[in-house]
Amino acid sequence: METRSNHELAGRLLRFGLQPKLRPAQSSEYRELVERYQVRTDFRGEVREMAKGLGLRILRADDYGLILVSSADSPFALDPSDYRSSGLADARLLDGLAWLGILTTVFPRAEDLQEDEDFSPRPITVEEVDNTVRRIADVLKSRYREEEDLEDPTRDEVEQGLQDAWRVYDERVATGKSGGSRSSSRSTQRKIERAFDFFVDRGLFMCHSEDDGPDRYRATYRFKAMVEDATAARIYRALQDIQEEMDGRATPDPTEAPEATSTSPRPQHQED
Amino acid sequence: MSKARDARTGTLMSEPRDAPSPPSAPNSGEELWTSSLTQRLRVLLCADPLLSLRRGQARAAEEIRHYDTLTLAVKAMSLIIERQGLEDELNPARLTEKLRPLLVAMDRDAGVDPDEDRHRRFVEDRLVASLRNDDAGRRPFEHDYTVMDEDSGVEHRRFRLRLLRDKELPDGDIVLRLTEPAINLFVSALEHDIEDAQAAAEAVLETQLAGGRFGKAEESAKQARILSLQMGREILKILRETRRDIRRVDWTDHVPDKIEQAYDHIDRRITTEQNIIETARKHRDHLETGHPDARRLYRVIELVRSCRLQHIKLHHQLMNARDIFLEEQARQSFTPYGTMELPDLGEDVLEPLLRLPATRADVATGRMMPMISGPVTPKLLSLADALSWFLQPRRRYSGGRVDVEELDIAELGPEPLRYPPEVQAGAEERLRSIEDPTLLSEVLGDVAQEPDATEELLECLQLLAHRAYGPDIDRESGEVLRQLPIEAVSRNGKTFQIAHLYGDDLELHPLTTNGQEDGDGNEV
Repeated sequence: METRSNHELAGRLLRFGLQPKLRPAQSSEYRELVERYQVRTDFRGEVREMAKGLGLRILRADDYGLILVSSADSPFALDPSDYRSSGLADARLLDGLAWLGILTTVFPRAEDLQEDEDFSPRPITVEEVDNTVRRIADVLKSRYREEEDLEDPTRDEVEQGLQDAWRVYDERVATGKSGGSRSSSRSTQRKIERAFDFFVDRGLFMCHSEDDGPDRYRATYRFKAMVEDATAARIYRALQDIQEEMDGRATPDPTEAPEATSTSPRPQHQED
Repeated sequence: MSKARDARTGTLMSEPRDAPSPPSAPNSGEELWTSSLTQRLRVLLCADPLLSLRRGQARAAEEIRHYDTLTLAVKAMSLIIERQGLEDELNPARLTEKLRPLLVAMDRDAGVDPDEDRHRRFVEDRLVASLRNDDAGRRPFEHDYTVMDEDSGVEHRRFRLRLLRDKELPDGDIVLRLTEPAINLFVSALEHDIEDAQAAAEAVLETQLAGGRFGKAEESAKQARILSLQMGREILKILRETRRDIRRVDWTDHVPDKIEQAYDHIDRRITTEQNIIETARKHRDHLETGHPDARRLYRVIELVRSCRLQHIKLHHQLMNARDIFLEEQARQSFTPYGTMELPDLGEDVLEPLLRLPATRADVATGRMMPMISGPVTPKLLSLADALSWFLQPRRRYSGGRVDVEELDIAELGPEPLRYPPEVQAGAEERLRSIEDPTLLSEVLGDVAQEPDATEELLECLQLLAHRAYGPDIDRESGEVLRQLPIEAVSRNGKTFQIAHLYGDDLELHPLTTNGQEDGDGNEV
């Protein structure tokens, strides 16, 4: 390792960090590079600078590996249209709500985000996530019914996507088997299953299959670290930005529109 | 957000144990209330989840009602704490195995046939689930209590406590760990703060070593290592808070003091622990080879070594602390106040999101998804690779049949060896030299004390002994093919742990003739 330059080693450490399922316990080189990052100030500075140039921020470097997050304009940031290939607005929204539902089920309260590092969240099921979103949608639905002056959306409003988001979730069936053991592709639980599959593939969740029960998904240390250190605060801020834009307090980005194809401009967003 | 902030200012389980107690005032020459009374009150509350386990046992299913839950919980805590942070940490399945002797004894006492499945159900679904508070979604146990305040009179407080939690290890394994309050309840009944407890534990250890009470010294060393871990966690917590919101951490006075204390702590500990190791070595050198105390001392030395590694790790964290502070200060300096607060994801994010018009919610989730997914690596097009792929000759269609060529075994090179020949020879020699029936743990203990003993040698020795327990049998003649002139006999579930090795202990009996050896030096 000593024969290689710090630049090359910094690049290799970032390369390992960009493979989220790889752990230092599986690779001696990765382990040595993390140790080097922890001990050598010059190397640490070099890795950080290189990460910054790539639009990445290092959250943690420890026995669990290098945990990175990307800025909105980074080439490493997920393009949602790569995940949400459907051009239908409702389908895209349901995918997003499934992700938020998972986050909320793992960390239901603010204090759950401040748990000790040692605390591994309890495993959750697809049904639990669906129930989390439906419970909130039910509260909003009953609140809507109590307020007499509120009317059902018109057909035009529905077509223009102006009805409340909870209606989209509420109108979709939770499950509905489609021959196999999995839910119908249009059901909300299928959206959640798909989100979990993606997260498992990204090393953010582990799946425990059981013979006599539903699959259970456990958030990994990586996911917990990302949500606690960055994601929770960032998505809260993103929501505030949207609300401010709607209130006219901020100027909406004219180029911004719900992505329909992969060539749509990437949403621009104030980065931390 | 108000709820989240209220929760943070409320009494959380992380409430400092030396939190300011109500001011005491003379009352007929006596203090109305003291901090030590609050301390004791909290200790008693910590024990409540354990005691309620026993209370709830009457309502448990009949098949598990005969188990004394409290007894098993205390044993479980002891087993977990002994292994916490070591290589052989326990998950629920391994804990069941460790508790099995007690479960079987309780079965027999109640006239019930032991049943492994019932043991598993009891430990995983009842014992561990109760200690983890699974019924309440693994949230902390909550206890209200009352203290006296000189100004406001009666003051009601809430104490929140977790006893047991799941921990993901760096290799992805999930194990059980006791929380700090549970450790302190078990180890020192919350009477000391972290540093005092560590100092006390190590002073006790030194005294015990000097007095030759090695069994207790081993116990104390285990406590000292656990307390070292707690110190590291405290620093990690500060750094985590700093990354989240630098304003929530006092970097002007509190943190620099804490870092200074930690450096002092490391300096002191490394010296103390070096003394302990030297004292232990000195004592060990005066003992005869094979003396039971020598093996205990070996374990003490290993434990204190792991303590030192923990301190070195803490030292690295401290070296990083200043950099993290500066980096976060630069990053967070222009972030508007309020946006760093942690939201209640249900109330502050998901519910407002579901209230938005669908198109706006779609935009919002589109912005949020990259923040949740983490970085993804973009695929780059290599024109050269793409062209090679397009232009490669079409594969011959095999119709689903694949011809398999028989490989001539002579063409293969020699099988690679896991251990070098000299290590194997050394291990074999030590086993051949056994003259009387001896325990495997004793042989390993003796070899571990040799100055030139290596991990490889110990491993190889253990593997050879276990191979002697289950030797190969010639398929045609039925003859037992022994590699060494020894016979190994099981000790009915007795296990050993020496250095990094763990396994079933065996009785090694030398054979009078070596006619059963295959003599070709099978490779391990």
